[in-house]
This record gives sequence, C-alpha cells and structure tokens, in this order.
Amino acid sequence: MVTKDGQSARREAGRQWRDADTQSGDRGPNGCGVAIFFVRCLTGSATAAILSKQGGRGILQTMPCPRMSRFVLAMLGCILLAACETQHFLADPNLDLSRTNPAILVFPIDATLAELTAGGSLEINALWTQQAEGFADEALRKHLLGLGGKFVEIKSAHFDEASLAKVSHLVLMHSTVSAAISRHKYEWSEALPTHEGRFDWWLGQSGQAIIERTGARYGLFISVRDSYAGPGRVMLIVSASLLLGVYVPGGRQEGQASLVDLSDGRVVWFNRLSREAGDLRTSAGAEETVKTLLTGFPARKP
Amino acid sequence: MIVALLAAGCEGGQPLYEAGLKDEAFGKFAGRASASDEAARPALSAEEVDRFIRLENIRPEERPPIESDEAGVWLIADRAEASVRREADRIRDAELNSYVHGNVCKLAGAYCSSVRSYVVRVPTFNASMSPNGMMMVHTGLLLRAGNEAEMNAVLGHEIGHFLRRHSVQRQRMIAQTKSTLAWLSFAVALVGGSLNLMDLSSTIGIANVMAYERDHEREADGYGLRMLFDQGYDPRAASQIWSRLIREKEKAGEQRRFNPMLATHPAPQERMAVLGEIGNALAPRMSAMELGRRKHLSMILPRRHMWIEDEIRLNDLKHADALLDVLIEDGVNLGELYYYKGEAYRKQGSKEKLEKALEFYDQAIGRNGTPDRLHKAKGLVLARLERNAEAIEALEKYLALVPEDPDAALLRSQIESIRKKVGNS
Repeated sequence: MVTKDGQSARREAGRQWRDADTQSGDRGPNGCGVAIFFVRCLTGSATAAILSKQGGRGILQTMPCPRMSRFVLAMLGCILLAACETQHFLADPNLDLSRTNPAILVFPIDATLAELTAGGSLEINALWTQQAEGFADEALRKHLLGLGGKFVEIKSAHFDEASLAKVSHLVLMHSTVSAAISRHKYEWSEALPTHEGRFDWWLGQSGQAIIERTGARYGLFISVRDSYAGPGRVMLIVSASLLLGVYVPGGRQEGQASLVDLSDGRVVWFNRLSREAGDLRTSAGAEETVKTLLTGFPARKP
Repeated sequence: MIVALLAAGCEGGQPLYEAGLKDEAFGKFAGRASASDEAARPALSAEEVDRFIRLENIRPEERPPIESDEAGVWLIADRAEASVRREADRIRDAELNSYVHGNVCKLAGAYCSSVRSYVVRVPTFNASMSPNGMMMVHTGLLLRAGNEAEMNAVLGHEIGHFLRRHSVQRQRMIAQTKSTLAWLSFAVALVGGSLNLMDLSSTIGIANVMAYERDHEREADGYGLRMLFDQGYDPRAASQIWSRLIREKEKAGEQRRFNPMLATHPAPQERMAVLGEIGNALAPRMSAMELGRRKHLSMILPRRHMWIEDEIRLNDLKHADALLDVLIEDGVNLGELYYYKGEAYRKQGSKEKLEKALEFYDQAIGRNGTPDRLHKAKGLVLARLERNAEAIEALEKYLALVPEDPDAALLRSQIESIRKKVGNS
C-alpha cells in the first residue's frame, strides 16, 4: 500500500530523472543523424540531377539541403558517417556502476549470422551463428571483467517453473521494448512527442523474480544480426563498382545492447550498432564488436 | 535469359499430385501391385519434379549438417518452436493433443519421431509445417473436418512438405532467382538498357517463385493422399474436405478470384477435382476404407463450442453464417449449431438481425445439443425487442435451469426492471 509520503517521494525521484535527462544532452541533433542528413542531401541532389535529365523531379527538389558543392557534402557525410557506427542513450548520465559494482545478469547473446547472396537474399549459417555466440559470450565476459564488473550467467538451475515463466516474460517484454526504442529513438520522424526527448522506457516488474533467485541487480541483453557478402555478391559489388560506378551494398552488422535495472524494470542504457563492418566469425572480431556494442556502458575502467 | 526464366515459369502442374504416390523412398507404395496399375505409369520423373534443385527426401531422424544452408533454416525454425511452446493460444488439452499427434505419428510412419504437432486456437482452416518438423494445427481445421480421414488428408499434406524439404528448396530457388535477376539488371545497365525491362524481369521472377510454391502444394497434396492410402483411410476424403471449403466460401459470397501469377496455392477447385479423380482411382483398390467419423466427432463435439465462438468473435456475419450452414448440412448436434447462428445474428444488434436470431433460437429448441444458455440469449433478445412478457418467461426459464450462473443476480434485477416497466405502462 503506497502511503501519501511514499507517493511524493516517488514523484520527487521522477522529477530528478527528468531533470537529469534534460542535462544529458541527448536531445536535439546528434552526430549520426547529421551525417545521414548530409548523405541524403548528396544522394538526393545527385538523383535529382539524373532525373531532371529525364524530366522527373518530385520531392527531392524540395528537400531543405544546404547550398554547397556535392564534393563538400560528400566529404562531410563521410567524416560524420565514420563516427556513426553506434549511438547510445542513458536514462541517467550520472549512473556509474563501478561505484556500487552491482551484479549484472548476462543473458545469452542472441546472434544470427547470414551470408548475403548475389541477389540480396540472406542465408543463415548455423555454424557461424553457433561459433559467434561462443566467441561473443567469451568476449563479453572478458570485457566485463576488464571493467571490474561482477556478472552472473543465467542458469536454468536458478529457476523453477513459475519464475522461469517470469524470466520468459521479461525477455519477451525486452524484445518488444527494444524494438520500440530502435524505432522511436533512432528515427527523427518516429520520435514520441510525449517523451519530449527523454529516454524513458520500462519493462515492468518481472525482474523481481530474477533478483530474488540470482542476486543480480541489472540485466544485460545483447543481440546481433550480422551478414557477410558471399562470393557471388562480392563479384557483383566489384563488377558494379568498376564497370558501372554503382555502389552495391555488402553485408551489414546490426546490433543492440541494453542494460535494465531489474528492480523497477527501467532501461538505463541502450546502444544500437549499425555498420557495414565487423566480423563475428573470429574471436578477435567478436571482441571488437562487443567492445563497440558496449560503447557508453555506464561503468568506468578501474 | 528472360526466355529461360519464362520457360522455367511454366508450372509442373497436375502430374505433380502423383509424385507422392510414386515415391518409393517413402516406402513401398502399396499401389504398385501390377504392371497394368494406372498409378504405376510414370507421369513425372524425379528430375522434373525438382526443376532447379535436386533434393532427396529428408531421412527419418536426420538433422542437416551444421554448415549447410538447411541448418540455418532449421535454426530459425527451432527458435520459433521455442516460442510456440510458450504461446498463449497453444492448446494443452492432453486428450486432443494425443488424438492429433497420434494421427500425425501414424501417417508419418518412419518419420514419427521427427515430427511434433501443436494445436493452436486459431479460427482458420489451416495447418502449417516448419522445416524442422514442427506442425501447427489450427482449431479452425479440426472444426471443419467432417471426419478423421479429412483431417488426415491435411496432416499428411503438411508431413509431405517436411519430408520433401520444401522450405529449403524454396529458399534456394528464391536465392537463385534473385541472383539471376541481379546479374541480369547489371547486364542491362551495362548495355545502357531501359529500366522497364527490369520491371518485367522481376515480375517474371516473382511469377516463377509463386509457380514453384504452387507445385510444392500439389506435391504435398499428393503425399497426403499417399498417406491416407497407406493407412487405410478413404482417399476420397482429400477431395471432400476441399468441397466443404468451397461450399463455405460460396455461401459466404467470397468473390476472390484465383490469381494465376501470384497465388501461393493452386485453386481449391483444381485441388478438389484432381484429388477426387485420383481418390476415385485409388478407392477400388482398397479392401477396407476408414473414415473415422465417430472418433473425430467424439473429440470435436465437446470442444467445438469454443471454436465456433472464436469464429463468431471475428465479427463477420457472412463468414460465421456460411460456416454454420456447412456444419448444419453435416447434421450433428443441430441444436448447438442453430443456437450459434442465433448468436452470430444477435451480435449484429439491429432489429431485423435480432428477429432473425429469435427464429434460429426457436429452430434450435427440441434438437440435439441445444445449450441451456439459449434461453438466456433468447430472453436478452426479447428484452431488446421489448417483448417483455416473453423476455421474463425466457429468463426465468434459464434461471430455473442454471441457478448457479455467475450472472444470476444481474439477470434477476433485469427481470425486476422489466416487470416494473410492464407495471408502469
């Protein structure tokens, strides 16, 4: 039963979170968004030039792009895009786990590795996937140890039928919420107006069962979808680039990592990775990917 | 290359239905008894059946090697199965599951241990098979099948998809088609061709893939027939379940035209006709044919009220009406079916629909399977229509039959307020 005092204490804490977010600097344009804007301007103006030769114009002409030469646009775009692999959000910029050093429950990394065929189909490779999950789990362990972290691995022995159902529920909630975060925080046009630029996402109370059973305060979820251009695709990329001057995309690495406070279900840190580099098929590559995925993780090296 | 794509776009067509009947790898087809046997005449060789990709049947208990593309397809299917196991609309009724799985196991033969079945509460006539052997059977299928043989025709079809590895065939075929189109577009761009050509090529590519999928469905239908024949079920049941479905669609006034380019399955009329033809040819060769109607009804009748309610909840009167009419033609527990016809109309709420609902309730009375709650529904409708004396009579009759209804107090207060209204007028 929440007493009147309890309510006002909660309201005060809520206000502190909100004020913290305003100071976090996570509102407004960020490097990645600006870079994509410049590149769109470049491609937009290039396509408009081609189309105008054939008489078509359309909405590309109405894009509010700065008046600069295409070369400058391209350079700016490239420079900014290079820094644009990941973008993370923190619910509280002052959060520093190395101070309190709580135990973190590490959920098994959810990876899918696929080969990109010449025509653009993704063929999932089970062997790469299995190996990558092993490499990534190992790399994550090493990285967290390097940060001086205490982590707990999820074992079925911790849970009985009832609490296992709660864990499943939390995992499902997380996949839904992380998809929503991916959509609403990483696309300007999809920003939720009621959030007013805050990072404000919750998973509900199912985490309580985990705290009781494992002693972990936070949960760390990582998922990666990685694709690698197969021989046919590489041939097409090279031929198109050399003979036609056309860019054909290769494989991509898309990943996300989130840290959830299990006591109240709040997502305290979220990072999204999206790039055309990275190789989870080797252990060194997995270490690099995990390090990149944990950019902005709220803990400092000891 | 476009000509090649066009040529390959031609479907295997009707001979594919017989592929399953000739498949010796699945086991000796009991039909190959004599040289003069109709079905023994080869209509299509194995190479013609797999136009692009030559794939043998999966072997019982086989798992694909982990470095293969098939293993990748299984990986996704395994993950999907983990979530189906936890799914809210999965039916855990042990008796029903054992009925369905018992049949799946019997039909699959040596493949029994490779296949798992899950019954899910979904109001559509459908079942699906994943490449790793997970079958999902919708309650809409169990509701519409008139007997065990009809249900088994569909279960056998799904097993056919699994043992012929259609998912992997489809993935490879799509990858090959897309790669061909990518190189084609490169070639076109190289010679400075126009973009309209690319639209045509990709359209041909899509048509090609869809034709391949339809051929897969024909092949699976044939395996369904094969399994009915091998297990002693009436092979004409395969055609009969399609005839039920076609009747239901006609009654619902569905005008969906078959799109020969984009349809994922062959037209129901084609399936009914060809399966009927082959079924009629096979039937005389069987010494005994089982339909399994009693067994099926014993499983379905105690549960069918939930599934009919699911269909009515879709809030499509034409659809519910058509389904119930087809079930009424089947003639079992008509009281229950007329009650539900009434319920479907009652939901619509308008005066004419409410009056029609009353007609159906009256038709239900005195027939088999009429539920007691009919009187409650009837009372509520009569109250809406302001036929107050009759409403009170129906509601009181209901309360006499089911005094422990959780809404009893609410109904009594409703009767009181109707009485007051009558007293005041």
